[in-house]
Amino acid sequence: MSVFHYYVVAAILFSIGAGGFLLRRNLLVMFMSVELMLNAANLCLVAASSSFDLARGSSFALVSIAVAAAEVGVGLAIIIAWFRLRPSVDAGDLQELRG
Amino acid sequence: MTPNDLALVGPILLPALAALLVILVDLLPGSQRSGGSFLLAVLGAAVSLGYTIHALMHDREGLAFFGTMKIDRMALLITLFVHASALMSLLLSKVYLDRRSDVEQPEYHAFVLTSAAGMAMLAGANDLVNVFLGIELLSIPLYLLVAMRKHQSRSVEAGFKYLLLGAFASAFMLFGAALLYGSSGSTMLTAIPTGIARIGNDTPLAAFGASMLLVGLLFKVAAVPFHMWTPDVYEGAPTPVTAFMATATKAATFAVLLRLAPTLGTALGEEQAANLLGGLAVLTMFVGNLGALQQLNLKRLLAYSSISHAGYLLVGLAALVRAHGSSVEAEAASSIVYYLGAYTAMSLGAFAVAVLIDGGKDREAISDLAGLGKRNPLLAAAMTVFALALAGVPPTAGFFAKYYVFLSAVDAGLIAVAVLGVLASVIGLYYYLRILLTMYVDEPKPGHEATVSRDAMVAAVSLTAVAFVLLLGIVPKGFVEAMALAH
Repeated sequence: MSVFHYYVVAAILFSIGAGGFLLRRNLLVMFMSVELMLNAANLCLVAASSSFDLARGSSFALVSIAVAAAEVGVGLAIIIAWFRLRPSVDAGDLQELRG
Repeated sequence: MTPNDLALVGPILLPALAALLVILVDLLPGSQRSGGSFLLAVLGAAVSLGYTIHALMHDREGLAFFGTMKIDRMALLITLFVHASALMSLLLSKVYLDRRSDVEQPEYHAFVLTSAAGMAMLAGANDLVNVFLGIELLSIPLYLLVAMRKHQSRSVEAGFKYLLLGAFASAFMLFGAALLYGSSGSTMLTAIPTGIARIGNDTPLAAFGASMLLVGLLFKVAAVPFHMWTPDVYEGAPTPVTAFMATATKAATFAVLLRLAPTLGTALGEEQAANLLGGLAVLTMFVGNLGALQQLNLKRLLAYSSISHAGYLLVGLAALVRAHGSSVEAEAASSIVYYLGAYTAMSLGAFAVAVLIDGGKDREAISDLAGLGKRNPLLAAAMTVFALALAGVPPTAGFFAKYYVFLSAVDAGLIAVAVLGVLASVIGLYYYLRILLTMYVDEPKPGHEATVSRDAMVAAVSLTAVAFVLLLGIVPKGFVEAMALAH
């Protein structure tokens, strides 16, 4: 199996994530879709790293996992703040600001 | 890691340390009511700014951390704009936050400093890992800053939109970075173009990677077609935060775009990359300026204006990519840096006026400016300078910024882009002049006059901004020479 097979799997995962983000209206599911996209990128990094026999890509993946965790923490905090103001997790309700 | 490495990245470490200090001091008993966190944060931002100026004056440049950070003149200049913007925005936030009881001030100050550290890191990043880390370190505190007024649905909604779309853009960026790594075998920005050439260009992997990375970065600078979030987020965020993110984020992200230009040229082909960027620049200028025409809210108008300025900056970037290897390349790079400096001053100034006339009512209608010319001639004069500068009227900094960017586009052979850019700025003239007409001609509606607060700190910010906008405009030569990016 060449490294390109891994890239293809990663691209499919990324597209599923992007599709979920654009099509689903539930804020939590949209957030989960972004996580799927980030994991597709991590898969890509690790596959490339092993094909070059270098640790650089794998360490990049570790860094990105840590950053994604921080992002999720902040994201959930903002979802909770939003839910306290308006008990809904539907993206269609984000419409006070427009013009 | 050597002491020299640490000295080089001082402009990144200092605001981060100050942020930690602000949070620690807040834990001391009895510190909540004293306003100590504000003083500490201002001090931290001022020290970071001073350190950056010192490094600039003594040419403290070089590679740090095995070449993953490249602190050169460009990085230091952009860091200077970032720290100046952070300091100004902190000064603006005092009067804004004191009128509102729903914001936790120590957290607010710590987040501004953390975000500034991320921007400074981005300005010096010479490695894809550091680019990603810098982008996230600047974005995550900004998501929170936008949503800081947690009992006000406008602010939380803006924060949420920014977070969702920002995370989506980050995912694109990370995937693009992974593909670039896969197609070049290196994460160092300076080694990627040679890596792509060595491994071979027979697969579209590098082109995909570069375009996805570009998507993520264009989102951060609010370029069309990734600009949809901008008006909503700028309107919903606390005004000092809007001022900070409009100016500093743009400066830091353009630093990365400047460093990525050779990679974009190699991965996409120089001609195609320049045409792509030029096309996006034209779209961005027109969408920004046409969108601003129909705005009634001052913050939304400035948001669309900020989109259009991203367009002018992209003109410079297109020229830079196109002129790779010739003498025009350095000209385009310094025109972008000059533009970023001018934009930071004039945009911060305009937002400072927005903070002054807000009066705690969260109503930023342009019509409230009516009669300001009579009631407060000084403030109206300051706003006039900023509006004219944003419109690009001589002798302000805005005129020369546009002039140099368009000049480098013409020199690089992108004549159509430059002509369309001039046309777009003529459209822009209309809505900036409307602000002036409202201030000097319109009669105020009773009950809707803007209440101008008197605050020494905001006045100082406005005055500094006026001084820089005029200085940069009247003696542009000296500043251009100071900013010349001699490689």
